Amino acid sequence: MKEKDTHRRVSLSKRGEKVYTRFYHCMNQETPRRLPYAERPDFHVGRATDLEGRQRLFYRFLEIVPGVASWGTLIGVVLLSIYVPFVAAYFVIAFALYWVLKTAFLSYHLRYNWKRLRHHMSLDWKNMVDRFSYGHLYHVVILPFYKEPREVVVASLEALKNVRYDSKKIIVVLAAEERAGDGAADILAQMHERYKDTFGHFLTTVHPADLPGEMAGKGSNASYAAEEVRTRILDPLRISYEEVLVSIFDIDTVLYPDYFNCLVWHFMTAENPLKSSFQPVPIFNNNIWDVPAISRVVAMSSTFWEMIQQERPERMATFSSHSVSFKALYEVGYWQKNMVSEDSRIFWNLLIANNGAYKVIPLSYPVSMDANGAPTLIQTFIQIYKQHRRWTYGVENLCYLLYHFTKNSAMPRRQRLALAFQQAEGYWSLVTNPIMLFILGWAPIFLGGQDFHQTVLSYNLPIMVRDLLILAMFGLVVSSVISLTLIPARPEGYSRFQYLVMAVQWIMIPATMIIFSAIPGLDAQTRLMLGKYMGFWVTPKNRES
Amino acid sequence: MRPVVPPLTRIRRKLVFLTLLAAFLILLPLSIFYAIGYRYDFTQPNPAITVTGAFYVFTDSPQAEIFVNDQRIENARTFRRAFYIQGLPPGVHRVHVQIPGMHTWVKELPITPHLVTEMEAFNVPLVPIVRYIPAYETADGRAVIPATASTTPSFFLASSSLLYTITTSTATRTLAINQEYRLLDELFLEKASTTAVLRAFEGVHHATTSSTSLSVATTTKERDGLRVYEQNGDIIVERLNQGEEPPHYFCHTAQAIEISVEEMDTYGTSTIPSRVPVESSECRTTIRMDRQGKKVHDFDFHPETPNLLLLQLDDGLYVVEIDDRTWQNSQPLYRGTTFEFILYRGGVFIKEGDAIFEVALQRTEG
Repeated sequence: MKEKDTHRRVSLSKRGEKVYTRFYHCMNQETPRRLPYAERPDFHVGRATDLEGRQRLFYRFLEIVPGVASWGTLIGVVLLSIYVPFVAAYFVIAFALYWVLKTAFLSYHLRYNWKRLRHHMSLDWKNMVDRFSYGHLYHVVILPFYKEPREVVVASLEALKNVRYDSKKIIVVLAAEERAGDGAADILAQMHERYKDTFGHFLTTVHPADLPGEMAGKGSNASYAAEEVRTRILDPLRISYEEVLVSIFDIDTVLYPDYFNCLVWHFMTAENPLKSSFQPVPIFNNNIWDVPAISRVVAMSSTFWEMIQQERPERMATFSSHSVSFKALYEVGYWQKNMVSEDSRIFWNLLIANNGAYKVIPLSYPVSMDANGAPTLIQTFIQIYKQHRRWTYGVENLCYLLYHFTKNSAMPRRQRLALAFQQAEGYWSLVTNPIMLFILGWAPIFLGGQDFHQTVLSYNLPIMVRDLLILAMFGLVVSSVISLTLIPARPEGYSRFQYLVMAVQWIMIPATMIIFSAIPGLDAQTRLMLGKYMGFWVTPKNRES
Repeated sequence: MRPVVPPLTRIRRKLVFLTLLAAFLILLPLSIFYAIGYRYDFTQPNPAITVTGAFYVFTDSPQAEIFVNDQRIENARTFRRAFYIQGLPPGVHRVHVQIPGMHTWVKELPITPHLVTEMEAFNVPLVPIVRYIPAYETADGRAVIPATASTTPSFFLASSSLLYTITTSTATRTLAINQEYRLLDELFLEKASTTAVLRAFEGVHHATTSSTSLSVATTTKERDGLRVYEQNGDIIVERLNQGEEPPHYFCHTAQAIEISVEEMDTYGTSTIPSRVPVESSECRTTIRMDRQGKKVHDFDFHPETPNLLLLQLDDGLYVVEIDDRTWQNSQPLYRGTTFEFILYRGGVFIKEGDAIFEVALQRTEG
């Protein structure tokens, strides 16, 4: 290996001291290859039908398990209430108490990340990264889109143009779909004309329709775009894959000015930057003043969940907009093209292909996206439901990782068991907990029979559950306060009364947890269980301002 | 400015998790024991864990005051229009529900550990409240009462806020006919003739069709799974639909209850008769109403609840509860000796002589 160029990498020791590491950049580097595990024919399995024989049966079994577990729990509580109401009542009390304490636990994480987020937003990241030599780094920004309105695309590109970073080091890829038709093609042409000289490179791609083995969706489009970048820019210019950070954003993503500086800082200080993904906090602020209250509550709840996860990085997978090194991407063949939740799947691909030596680094820095809003309230409800059904269809990743956990013995067993349990518990509780808490908690009272009805327990049960839920609802006060600090300033023409609405809207949480979280989750798991595989549904973007 | 803030450390998170886990493990058994009725009374000289039961008292009025053992219950948890009083030690307890201007409802019932004793209170106005329904009205809607009526209706002794005119004239050409009076008068006439037919029919029917009949009912009323009929002068409430959950007062059996030493001074005995809950399979099917040794001239269900009956006895119309645990509360709704009553659209109407009026079942606000 010939030493051509060197640069220092700065990391922080445990005592906060700067540690300079010199490493070498090889001129005659070998062509990057897929990781050995990623070469497996079943590495990019999307569903059971992609496999054959016993593997197919096993994968099909894994697809059935989440739905069976969730339905079994819900039906089990009902049967328990009928046949053993006393046991059901004890379980309900225990569950309500567990919920209160879990809420307190998560609220603690949320508050900590809120402080961290606000602090990070106040930092001068440009100043912080200047201590590094990072001029060799490139940022590939992939923006897949379908039929979103022109103004949505422009807003994202304008924000990208205005970041505090050398735009010549940014390679923008605006990735359209052939099946979107002439409208998308027109937008491509217009944007290329408008921004071709703004960034280092402005590439437009059109993902062909109906390619064999692909599902129409963001994953296949993004993978096509990534390969186009490699063949048309990176390889011809001999840019090392290790020096390229890929950020894949939804087309409605509006970046905060210091996003790339924050990303670079975390990349340069990461223990294994090429074995890490970088996850910002999605805040759905673009149109927060224009959407109905229910949409705000649902959107902010998603933000809060990501904020909580940022404090538990060992449990994190990537979600929606995120960044990753091109090298890591290339080693696993980019995002999967045959399934729905490609944003999380890429992390599992990377984790498994690297035998567990891969992680997500939380940036605790925001990106702004669109909350769900449609011309009518009913349409908004439907859109929110469908979006969350798509998100909760991420349970397909549970099947994937459980399958490969049985195949990849190079990955530490303890890590596999821990992740399997965490992910399984997460998908199970997402669906069952709200329903058990707000609906089935009353089941013993209605189904318990007369011998149960005349007991003190049957009378105290609803009182205790109610009181515990009220206690848990105090967490809503925290949520309300945090949400008010995260929203943008009130635009002109909007009443101050809206602040009061935004504070009080959190009262809808019990309803949103059931209608827009548990039920779509149950819907998604049931579809997977029955083999009614879902396709990718694109959330329509409607932005008034 | 501080550098970046790292995520929560695993140690700190683990500490928080373990703290909350400990809280869960401590609070869960305490919650369950509390839920099933265990209490630790700190106020006692020798605090100890006691097993308690509860009362569940239905009442229609928001103004009702609940007393248990002559102590007013404050902040009793409420379900809809009911009071839930928990933490009561085993033994017999006196419950009374009082409302200003209404009869007081009193019951003495035992508390069984871990169980809830249900009861439904009712309170009838001390002074009957009536609404006179005139046969005729003046042009401006004022009721007209003929002064030549052969009898003075008892409602003159009742409370009414109706403005009326007493007239000595028998001319009615200038007066408006009250359609409500006409309708009710017809209903009274219809009831009289129907009752006579039913008496004849049921007397024949039961004699010829039922080999195991225990009753020859004059009239029979059914409502919400209960049947009320007369048998040898007594009024019997029978539970229909044996497979369904019966009203709670059917599911008790007579038993002598031991009472505390303090209560022995009051009762002069170590045990008192009471009723204790039984398994659902042992619920009774009939309850005999307490008619206070008087003759029952007519009966019907209370319009607002199937757990109360209206019994027309020798001296008036009474509201009587079916629940016969300890005693059956009976409160006079209207006093009189020669009158009829009917139920119509949720109201109780009385005809005394030619006068018809509606009796209020509870006191209105104001």
